[in-house]
Formats: sequence, C-alpha cells, structure tokens
Amino acid sequence: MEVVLLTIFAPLVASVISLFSGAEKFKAWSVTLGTFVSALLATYVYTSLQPGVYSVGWIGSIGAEIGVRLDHFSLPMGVLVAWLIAAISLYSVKYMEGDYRPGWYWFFFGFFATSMLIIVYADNLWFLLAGWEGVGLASWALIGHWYRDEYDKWVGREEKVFGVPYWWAPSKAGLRAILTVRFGDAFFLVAIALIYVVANTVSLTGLEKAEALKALGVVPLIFFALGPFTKSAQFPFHEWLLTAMTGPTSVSALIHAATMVKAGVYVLIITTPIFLHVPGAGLYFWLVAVVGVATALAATIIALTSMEFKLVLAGSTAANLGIIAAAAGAAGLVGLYEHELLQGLLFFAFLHIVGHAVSKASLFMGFGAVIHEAGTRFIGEVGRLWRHMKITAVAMVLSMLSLVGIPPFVGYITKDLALENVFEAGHVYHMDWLAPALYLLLFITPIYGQRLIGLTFVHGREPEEVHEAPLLMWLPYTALAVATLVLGGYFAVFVKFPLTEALIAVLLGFLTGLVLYIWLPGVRSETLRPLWEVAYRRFYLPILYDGVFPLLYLWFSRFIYVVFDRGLFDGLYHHVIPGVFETLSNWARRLITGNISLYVLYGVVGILVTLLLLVVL
Amino acid sequence: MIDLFAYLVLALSVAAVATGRLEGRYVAVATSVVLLAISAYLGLPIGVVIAVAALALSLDWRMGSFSFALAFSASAAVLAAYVYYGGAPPVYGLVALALATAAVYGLLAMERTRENVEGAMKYLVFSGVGKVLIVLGYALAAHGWVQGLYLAVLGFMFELGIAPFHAWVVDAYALGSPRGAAALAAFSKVTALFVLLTLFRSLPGDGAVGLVALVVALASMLVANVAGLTAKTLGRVMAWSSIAHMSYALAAVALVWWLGEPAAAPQLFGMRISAADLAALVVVLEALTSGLAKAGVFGYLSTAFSDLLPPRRSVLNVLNILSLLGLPPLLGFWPKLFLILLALSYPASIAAFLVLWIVMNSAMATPYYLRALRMVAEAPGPVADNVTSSYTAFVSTALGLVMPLVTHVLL
Repeated sequence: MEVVLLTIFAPLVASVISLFSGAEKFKAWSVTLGTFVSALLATYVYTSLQPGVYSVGWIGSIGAEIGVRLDHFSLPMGVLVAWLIAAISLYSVKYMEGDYRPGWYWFFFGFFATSMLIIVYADNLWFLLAGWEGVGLASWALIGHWYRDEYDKWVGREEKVFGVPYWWAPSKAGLRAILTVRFGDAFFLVAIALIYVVANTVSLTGLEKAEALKALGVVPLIFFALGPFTKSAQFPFHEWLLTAMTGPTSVSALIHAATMVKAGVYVLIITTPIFLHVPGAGLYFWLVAVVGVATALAATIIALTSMEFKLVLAGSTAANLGIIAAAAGAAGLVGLYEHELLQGLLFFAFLHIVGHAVSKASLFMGFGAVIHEAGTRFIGEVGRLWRHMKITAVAMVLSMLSLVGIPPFVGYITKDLALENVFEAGHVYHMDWLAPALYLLLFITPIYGQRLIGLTFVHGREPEEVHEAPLLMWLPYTALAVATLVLGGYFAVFVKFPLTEALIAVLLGFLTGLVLYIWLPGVRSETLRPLWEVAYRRFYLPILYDGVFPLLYLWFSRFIYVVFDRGLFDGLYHHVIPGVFETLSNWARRLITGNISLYVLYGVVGILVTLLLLVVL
Repeated sequence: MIDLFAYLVLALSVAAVATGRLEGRYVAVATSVVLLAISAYLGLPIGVVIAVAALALSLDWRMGSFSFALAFSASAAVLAAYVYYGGAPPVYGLVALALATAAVYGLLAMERTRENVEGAMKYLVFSGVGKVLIVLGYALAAHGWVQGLYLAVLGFMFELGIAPFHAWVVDAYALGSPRGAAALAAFSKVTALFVLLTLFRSLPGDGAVGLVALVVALASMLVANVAGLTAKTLGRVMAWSSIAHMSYALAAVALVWWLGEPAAAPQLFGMRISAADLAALVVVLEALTSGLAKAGVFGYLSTAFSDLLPPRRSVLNVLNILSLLGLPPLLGFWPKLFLILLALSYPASIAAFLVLWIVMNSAMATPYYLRALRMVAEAPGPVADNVTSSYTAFVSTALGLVMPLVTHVLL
C-alpha cells in the first residue's frame, strides 16, 4: 500500500519542494521529476501488485478511510493518468518558460496530479471526494493562471450578445469552472452522505456487496450523478470547459482533455455495478445515457462552428465525454437485464477514456505549439503551416484521424466499442431515436476534425516567420500521436476490432470533410448562416450563465442587503434600540426640573408607592 | 475609644472659633493626620484610606474656613466606620451622620454662587428628611417595632438618593462646588453606608421590608442607568452614577433582609462566608469605589460647579471612571462581582433574574461612563491631575488588584 500512496503523493511532495526556490527551472524540473517518479511507480503497481483493497482509518464517525483499490479499472487508469501527467509536465517545462508566475503553475500542477491520482485509486468515497475537490481547486487555479487577463489569453472576442459579454478572461473562466463544478459537488456530497446513512459504508468494494443499498432511492443516485455531470462537462454544464481554454495549453491538455474531466465519467463507470442493485436504477442509467448523447451532439455542433483552435478541441472533448457517459449508462441499462455482460460493456466504456485521452492530449499539445509559434488563437489567421511545422503537422494529422474515429487508429476502436454499448441499449429498450442521433454524431465528427486540420495546415494565409516547436515540446505529442496507431493495433489484436454500420457514417463524414476542407479551403453558406450563428453562439447558453444567473444573484444579494442588513439589523442596532433608550433617558431626566417642591412631591409619591408595595408584596 | 473622636470633634469646634486667624489648610491637614493616627491605632484600614483622601483634598485646595467643614466630614466618616467595625453603640453612627450632613452642606455651598447654594440646599433638605426618618426608624426598631425598619430604610433611600427620592442628587452634584461634591461622595455617602451596615447588623431583618427595598433598589438601578445615558455634563453623569452605585449597595442589604441566609452559604475565593457578611462587603466596597473615584473626579475640577464639560484634561481620572464602570481588575469591579455571587447563592429563579438585571444594568451604564471618560480625557491640556486624583486612582487600582488577598485576610 505504501507504494500506491507514494505514487499518489509524490507529485504533491514535489510541488511543495518546488516552493522553496524562486528559480523557475528548479520548480519545473522538481515537479516533473515527481511526476515521472509517480508514473514509474504506477507502472510498477500495474505490473507487480496484487489487486485488492488497502486502507487505514481516517474519520470513523462518517466512515471515511484512506483507502486504495487496485482493480481492472484503477490499475490501467492509474498508468494512463500518471504517464500523461508526466509527459505533459515535460512539455510544460518548455511551454511555460519565461512565464510571469511559475511558482503558482508548478505548485498547482503537482497538487492537481496528486488529487487526480487520489480519484483514480480511491476506494473510499470521502477520500475520493477529497481528490475530487482538489482537482477542482487546481483547475480554478490553473485556468486562471494568467491573472493579468491579457487579450491573447481570452476565449472569445470583445463583443456582446443581447447585452451579455461574449468574452472570457482567465480570471472569469476560472470562476466559471469552479462554480459549476462546486454546484455539482454539493449534490455529490449529499449523495455520499445518504449512501453512508443507508449502507453504513462508503467503501466502493464494500458497497458492491451491500444489501442495505436496496433501500436507497433513485433520487440520491441522480444527486450522485450531478457530480460527474458537472466535472465531465455534460450538458447543460459544459460551458465551463469551453471557457477553460483560457488556461495554458498544457493545462488544457492535462486537465481538460486527458485527466480531470475523465474523472467524472470514470466515477460513473466504476459505480455502475454498485448502483445496479438500487431499485429505480433504470431511470438513473437512462438519464446518464441520454445526457451523454445530448452532450455529444451539442458539443460536436459547437466544435464544428468554433473559430478558435482550442475551442474546437474543447468541444470535441465534451462530445467524447458524452460518448463515454452514454456508454456507461447504456452498459448499466443492458446490465439490468443481462448481468454477465455488464463488466465487458463497462470495460468498453472505460477503453474510450484511454483512446480519447491519448489522442486529445496529443492534439492539445500540438495546437499549443501552433499557438505558441504562430502567436494567435484564432482559426484562419495563420495557414499553410505544413510548410513550416512539418513534424507538428504529421503528428496532428495522426492524432486527428484517431480522434475522429478512423480505423485503424485507437480512437476508432474505442469510440466504436463504446458506441456499441449505446446502440445495444437503444435496441434493447426500443429507443428508436438513438441510432439516428448517433449516426449524425459520427457523420459530423470527421468534418470538424478536418476543418481544423485543413484551415490550419493546408489552406489559409501563410505567415512569414514560424518555426517548428522545440524538441522538448514536439517529442511528447508526437510520441502520443504515434501511440494512437500502436495502441490501435494492440487493441485490435487483443481486445476486438469492431465492424458495424457505424463505420459507414464515419467514412461518409470523412469524405465530406475531405472535400469541404482539404480539397476546398472551407465553405460559407448564406442560407445556413442562421443555423451557424446559433451554433457559434453556443446555443446562447452563456446568456443564461453569464447574464441571467448573475443578475438574479445580484438582485437577491442586494435585496438581502437592503432589507436585512441595512434595514433590519442596522436599523435595529443603530436606530431603533438607541432611539428607544434615548427617548426613555430624556424622559427620565426631564423630571429633574430644579423645582424643589416637585422633588418633594416625588418623594411623597415614592413613600406612597413603597407603602403600597409593602402591603401588596 | 469613641472618646478619641469626641476629643477630636471638640478640638475642632474650639479651633473653629479662631477660624479667621488660622490658615484653614493647616487645620485640615492636621485633622487628616490625626485621623490617620487614630485609624492606625484602632486598627481601621478603611479609616486610613478615608483619612488620606481628606489629606489629599486639603493639600490640593485652599478652602479657608471651609477646611473645618472638610475636617468634620472626614471625622464623621471615620467615626461611622469605627462604629461599624468597632462595635460601638449605633447611636454614635447617627451622630456621625448628622455631623457629616452639616459639614458637607457647607462644603457644597463653598463658592457661594447661586448654583452652589441651590445644590447645597437641596442636599440639606433631603438629607435632613432622611436623617429624621433614620433616627425615628432606629428608635422604633430598637424597641421591637418592625415599622421602624421600614422608616429607617425609607430614610436611607432619601439619604443615599435612591429613586424615586433621587432628584436632589443630580442638582447637588452638578450645581454644588466640586470640592463639596467630592466630600459628599467620599465622606457623606460613606458615613451613610456604614450607618446602614450598623443598623443591618444590629436590627433584626424583615422579609416584607427587604422585598420592598429590593424592588425599589432594582428599579432605581434601571432609572439611574437609563437616565445617565443622555446626561451631557460631567457633574450630571457622576450624579446618575452615584444613584446607581447606591442602588447596588442597597440591593445587597435588601436581598439578605428579604431572604435571610440561603441554604448553601456563598463561597468567596473558595472560602465560605455568610450572606450577611458578603452583603456587608458589597456595601463597603461600593462605598469605597464610589467615594474615592468621585472624590478624584470632582477633586481635580477647579470650576465653581460641575454642570459643565471639564476645562482641563485629567489622565489619572480615567482610571477612576473605569473603576466606576466596573472594569476588572479595578476596585469597582469587585462589589458588582460579589453582588452577583450573593445573588447566585439563592434559589435559581431569583438568582437568574437578579444576575440578569445586574449584568444588564452594568452593561447599560457603559456608554455614559465612556462619555465621562472622553470628557475628562479629551478636555484641553495641560493635564490637571492633582494629589487627589493621583491618590484615588492609585487606591482604586491597587485595592482592586489585591482584592482577593484582602478578602482572604478579612475572612
């Protein structure tokens, strides 16, 4: 167990150590070293340790323990996460060179790494929640890293839509992220508490056998799901992920593509076998699946119409997370009927985490290099980059083919396997709308992928001075790009090579994209423009999140201030009560007129009163 | 031992004939020293404290013939203390009371302004009425008539200025000469309180009278503290403070008269003490607190009367005012604490109400004490502290600090 704990906490220790020197290089390399140690240890754990559960007590009264679980999900996930962290850490050494706040970045990088590994390995839900909150905090810190809010770090342009600003500076984006995620976390926490109350344990392995869980209703499950929904940017909580692109690209690669957002769907996957036993779970799984599909579609449309490199990738991430969530929900739905299929289906859902993570991390790092070298975040401002950044171009093409799901890349295999779950569930439950929706999804995906590649590397305005990225930057993402092919081959041989009608949709989409964006330099259509506008404006959801909600909240806060703070309390303590005392006091003093006869009268009255009291009391 | 006092008073009376020729200051100083000696000889620490207060006043102010009045009033106070502690016949206490009244009347009218005379007159009238009632009451009670106790208590209410018999206090303090007011607080009220204690010890208590006295005292506390909140001049604030402090003192005694000894004797710093003794301790400490602190505050004013904002700053009187406020560890904190301890030794419902009432009243008094503090501390410089203010501030602090030790010694 100590080895696992060392794997988890090595990055945090490294980031604390990094605080003790002001030199950027020291910070960068100490944290990178820590993450590599963690990655090596994770590999060792994967290969050598026995699966099982190891734990020590923590807060007994609520059943919290520091517990780690080594099983067929956490072991590979740990290796994936740890190595991605290490690779991106190496990339960041060069990418973040010369930054104005390296201490903040590197501290939270290590802090994030540890928190993520806690989520991966945790057996106890409270321990998991600790990691969960940790990644949320790190996410806020790193999204808002460039706190000076320079224009080139924004998402969006300086424009307003119906009075709501459609630009997000890093500090605002950081807040959006943490507020959304914390909203879900509140429900998540309540759900964990309810589970503890009903089942008297929050250990994942313990819950699998818990009979008492049958007493839990479906509402706590839905509360529970809200945590992963917000963390994994499912519709309608996907907005934060898009504006999270204000963070450094290495952060986007790590947190918002490969690891943190995966935490949500990972938790959905590993809890499916547990929640299967709860009565009413069918509704829960249906909800997860539907939300997943809805997210996938909405995010894909957003990715198709975005005008920034990272927004396309962010939309794509949200879409793929939707696919994984849908796959997990579908596995649960099917598993309700055919228990023996459950583990297999869940494993397919889990595989797409791996496939997507590898592809997306590479893409983010590569386009980070593009932004770094070309000096712009907008699609269309630079073009024909294949001439200037050959290695990057090749790597990006490979990763993109994997991402959009072209065989034989790993992205195809895992996405197709995951979608098989969903098709199966749709078939079993007679949800006829599901298959067409998925086909549409599969059709559009290659189009946006090729749009991104075409408008950046093939067509467009050629810049004057753009170099290839430095070695320390292109090495990680090129290696990952190659890995998409290698892993694809590995999974094809050792798992399954899926061949379904879905491939037709993908190929059709690929051909369309090829024509539109590789052969032609993109198309504009005035007839489709209104549709494009809605998609480009991300279905006007920012108006709700950045306009309506803040306005409501401000109104409410002002109401409380005027009515309670100023009115009731201030009024009471500074006006009413002193006023009463002042009046009484002045009355009392007014009796002292100076007229001695009056004083004598008071005395006489006093005597009479005391006599009365003497008689009465 | 009473003879000593008799000789002193006689000597002063004889010397008073030659008042025009004698420098008044020397007389007052000499009397103070003699009182100091007598107190030391009789083993009367309170006497020492009072005597030195008189000494301080006489060193600070040139009072001419009124020094005799100061001497008489100081003697009366020490005599009353001796009557209580030495176990002398209570009638001597009454004599002391009469002596104090006459002397303080004169002192209040010292400056001979219209205001002074008005203040002094009011003091005389009400104090006189009070004394008549006390004497009458004592005479009756000594012969076994319980109505006598009622009359005596009524008399004390007049004498001490408990509401609703309090109206004269404001005018006496504010309009009288500040030196007179100092003497009023330091000597006249102290005398009255010691006579109260003497009667408390020598006469049997009565439940009904005790209850009435308690109710009146509690009401008086409230009236004084509420009224003081908007008082605007130093003299008036001190007057309301005096009424409040006297109400606390009366409440202590009244409580024991009403309920007698409680089932479980109260504890003081881990030692058992009877409720009567505790009440007496409260009264003595109130007398000292109020007397010394007000002597200090009035004793530094050089004006003809005190119904105004002080013309000069005083630093040490801040301590006196804080002592009146009841801030630990100054002297004024202890009588309030002991009063609460006394109340707590009685059954819960009564105790709860009493403690709540006392605490609320103390809290309510804070604003006007702080206003007085500001008046004194923010007046224009140079600092006008004199022997009186220094001495009284010193005693308020020192006695407060060693109070646990003192009670240990006393018990």
